[in-house]
Amino acid sequence: MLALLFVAFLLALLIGFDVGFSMILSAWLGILAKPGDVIDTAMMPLSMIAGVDSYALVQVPLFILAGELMNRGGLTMRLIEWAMALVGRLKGSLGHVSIITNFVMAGVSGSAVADAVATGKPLIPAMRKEGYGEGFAGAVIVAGALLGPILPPSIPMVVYAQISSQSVVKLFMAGVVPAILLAAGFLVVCSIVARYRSYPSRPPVDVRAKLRATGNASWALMMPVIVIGGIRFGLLTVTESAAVAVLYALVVSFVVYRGITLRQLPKLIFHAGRSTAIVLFLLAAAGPFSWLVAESQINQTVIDTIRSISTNPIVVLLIVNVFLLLIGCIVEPLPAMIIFLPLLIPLGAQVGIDPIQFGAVVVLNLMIGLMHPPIGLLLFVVSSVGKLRLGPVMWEVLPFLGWALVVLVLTIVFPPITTWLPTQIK
Amino acid sequence: MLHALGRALHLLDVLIEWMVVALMVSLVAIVSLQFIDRHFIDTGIAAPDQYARVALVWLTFIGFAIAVRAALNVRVDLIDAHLPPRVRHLLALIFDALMLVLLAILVPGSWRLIEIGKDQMLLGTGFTAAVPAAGVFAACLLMLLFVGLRLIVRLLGSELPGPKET
Repeated sequence: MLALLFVAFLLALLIGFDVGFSMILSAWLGILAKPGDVIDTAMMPLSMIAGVDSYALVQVPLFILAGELMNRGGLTMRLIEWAMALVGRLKGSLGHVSIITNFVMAGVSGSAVADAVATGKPLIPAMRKEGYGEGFAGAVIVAGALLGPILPPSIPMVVYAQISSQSVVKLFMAGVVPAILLAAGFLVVCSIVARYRSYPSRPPVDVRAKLRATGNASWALMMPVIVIGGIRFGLLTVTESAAVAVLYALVVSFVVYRGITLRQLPKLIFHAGRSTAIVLFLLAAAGPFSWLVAESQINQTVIDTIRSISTNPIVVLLIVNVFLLLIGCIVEPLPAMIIFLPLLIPLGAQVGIDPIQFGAVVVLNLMIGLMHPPIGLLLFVVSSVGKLRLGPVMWEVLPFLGWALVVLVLTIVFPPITTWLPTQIK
Repeated sequence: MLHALGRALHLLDVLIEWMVVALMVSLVAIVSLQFIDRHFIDTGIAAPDQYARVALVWLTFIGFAIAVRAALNVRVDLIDAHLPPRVRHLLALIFDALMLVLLAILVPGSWRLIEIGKDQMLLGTGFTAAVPAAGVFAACLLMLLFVGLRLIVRLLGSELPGPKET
């Protein structure tokens, strides 16, 4: 009976009912259907509060705010100018600029969508002006923005840490090597496409101009150093590093770059707060829903089914990843994590998969969902920001998507890609 | 009538927006004070993490209420484009009605939680466990209002004015 409610939940989800309320609805129906003592009405809101009443989650609004400040305060533009001075002479340099800028920005902002908007707005018109195809102009922004939630700090990693009770710092570190592999491959794809289509390069920039661009961007470049260095050397906890990032971005945006006025600040803070609430409400709704998952024993059914196929950790991870890639076709990454991780985490533990590797692989997999059709959120965001047709962007994103899948398989088959760096953290 | 309702709701929107801003600022301030307390001077705040958690609970629920008002809540819109407008409209009405039913369960539940929590102190703070529960209660009441009005106005064949950002 309770397993049927899980199916009803999926149905509610697919016909377009609010994701959080779908979880609450199925949990409530589950409570009604459960024989035995009547459950107190206070249980539902109590388990919702428990879903978000965690100090570790305080970093989510702070990193979202830091990212907003960075994007609106002129820090992102300085990074674009700096990357342009460094790699402008390469063929198809604006593609490289997008990847490099996003790689640096990812050190502060954990949101792929915010990064796509921030880099897409200036770079897509510039690429179109220089004769890049509209599909490629969009696809390269999508690929660059994908790095945001994989490199630390990463909001999906924080959510995973919360669900699985793992160290968020170790999870952050687990994303570093896959992100470097992704960025390196994306740069190679840019080079190949640019050479094949003879995309233009920019005039070479002398050393003095490069130094000047680096100087202008130094405030922005220092931000990931402060955040990641502060955590790595034990000066800051992850949550404190998020607050420091907010204060630093605030000072730099106001005093140094003068990109924001005092009047704009409340609106910017409000947007960050509302975005936070949208994410965290899903975690709150997952509180009663996880009761349903536990009571229906659907996780045991999933575990038994997959274990009947294989108990080899690599094979199990591959099966989980195929499942998540399919889920990624219909559900956005964060809801998918919140809905399916309670089913999958015990499976990982039972077949002996390192929980940090499991987390990194799951996050990487679900983030890839941001760039593949039909609901790849980044495809829609970039098409809308750059006023591009969706079809060409979907087509041109395929080489980047192909490389992302290769990196995903590598992280499954070679666990040290995700587990080596976290073991270096004491 | 609809215009007057829109103006009244706008005042409420502004109030909630400023509340969200205040909660965000308080989170930055609390965590920053904790850093200062740990490394530099004693700020005298016994349990900053507890205050931050209370602010986060309030932010989550109040912020979500305003997201529901602006129809920004997360949903899978995979089949939307394939449905005729009449079916989409009917589904929107059913979803709002379903949400109202769930909120009608959450409102008394969260009120009961306030009553249970009012005698339990949160360690190191002057707050009781009723304070975070009050955030859920207030947000559920707001959502009840927003979704209820939206449903009534839709049933009357019109659309409730959306929030104007200030």
